[in-house]
Amino acid sequence: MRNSLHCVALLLALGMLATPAAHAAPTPFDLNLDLPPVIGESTKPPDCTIVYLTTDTSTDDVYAERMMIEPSDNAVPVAGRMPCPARIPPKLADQAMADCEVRAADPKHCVFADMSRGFERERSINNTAENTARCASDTATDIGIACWKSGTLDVCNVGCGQSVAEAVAQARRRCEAKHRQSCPLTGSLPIIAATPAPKQ
Amino acid sequence: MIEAGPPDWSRPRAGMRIARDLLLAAALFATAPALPVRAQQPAKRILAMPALQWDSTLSSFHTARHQTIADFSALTGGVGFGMSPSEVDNALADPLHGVSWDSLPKSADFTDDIRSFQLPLARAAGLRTGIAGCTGTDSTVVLLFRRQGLFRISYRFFPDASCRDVSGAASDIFARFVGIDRSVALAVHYRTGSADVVDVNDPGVSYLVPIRWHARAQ
Repeated sequence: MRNSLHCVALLLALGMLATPAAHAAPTPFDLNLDLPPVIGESTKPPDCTIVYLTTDTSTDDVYAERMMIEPSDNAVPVAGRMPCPARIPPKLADQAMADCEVRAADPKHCVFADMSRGFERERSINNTAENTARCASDTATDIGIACWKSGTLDVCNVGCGQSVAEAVAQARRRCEAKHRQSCPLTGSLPIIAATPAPKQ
Repeated sequence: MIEAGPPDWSRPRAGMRIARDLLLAAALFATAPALPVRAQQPAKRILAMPALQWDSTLSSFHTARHQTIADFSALTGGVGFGMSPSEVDNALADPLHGVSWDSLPKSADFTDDIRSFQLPLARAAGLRTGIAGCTGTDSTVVLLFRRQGLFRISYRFFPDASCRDVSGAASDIFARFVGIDRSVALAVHYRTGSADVVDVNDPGVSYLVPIRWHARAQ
């Protein structure tokens, strides 16, 4: 009887070891608990940042270009964020496009990353939209992209959100609604760069 | 006929048998490969270009972070534009030795007097940093020179049986150089034949930037 109880105890211990938790990666020990949190300059939020996504359809490279906008003298942060201009002039989109074109084998292959239905048949910039291929830091924290593959071409749409998951989900919803395809190819980027760039 | 009855827990030998069987089952479970919690979603890479800083009236901009040739050299293991062939060779982790302008063949891709030498990507330790994707065994780095010095580093990725898709490797190296201000180095990515090519150009020689390599020329 005593031996049996030992066996049951041993089994229970082994059973606990064999649970799925045993398959998980070891808990990271470097949690930086000894480091103080990084405190930013709380009185001055980062400049409004607009991110554009462009793509070179010959290589499927997607480019993100952050445009930081110096605040006007009377600009007041709202909820800790600097406001972005109500109207974004096309010259910002033009610059994002120019920076894609200079890196592409053929400038005509550069388009905005938010594509209309049927883009795969007519790969023209006219079948893309610049105002939905961008996100602004006063209304979102992340920009997401979701795509489906038409042969070798990635057909994509863009979303903005308050988290990576929200930005990607929005891009995915947009892509799936617009193209009536499953859009499993996804990516995201913070709108404001992780390390604020020092002013020149 | 032997009838299977409920185990007699009062008997130590029966308990031991059950324990052995359960132990075996537990051991099999523990050594089985872990099943993924959920399938990994394919990731779409986004290449971040240098940020631009616009003034408050949106009338002008400049690159938000000033970059220099040092930022570029940090990505190439010390190889920089304007270096002579022998200087470039000496900067390589595994130099070829005896490389000089006079010893290099003229490139047929240019009308100007452009010369080059190449080395297998596998041998270009300082230049291939950051490549995580697979590369075909014939993939190379070609270093192109004017008489004034190096003006292009050309990565040419060729798929083969061991690596059928080199686009990941090309994207790895392209992503590193896209983050460099185009006034310092201008990286372009294109495909020719089955090859993926990433050319990293000296922007000071802008008239040569649009001249691409074509696979047929190899």
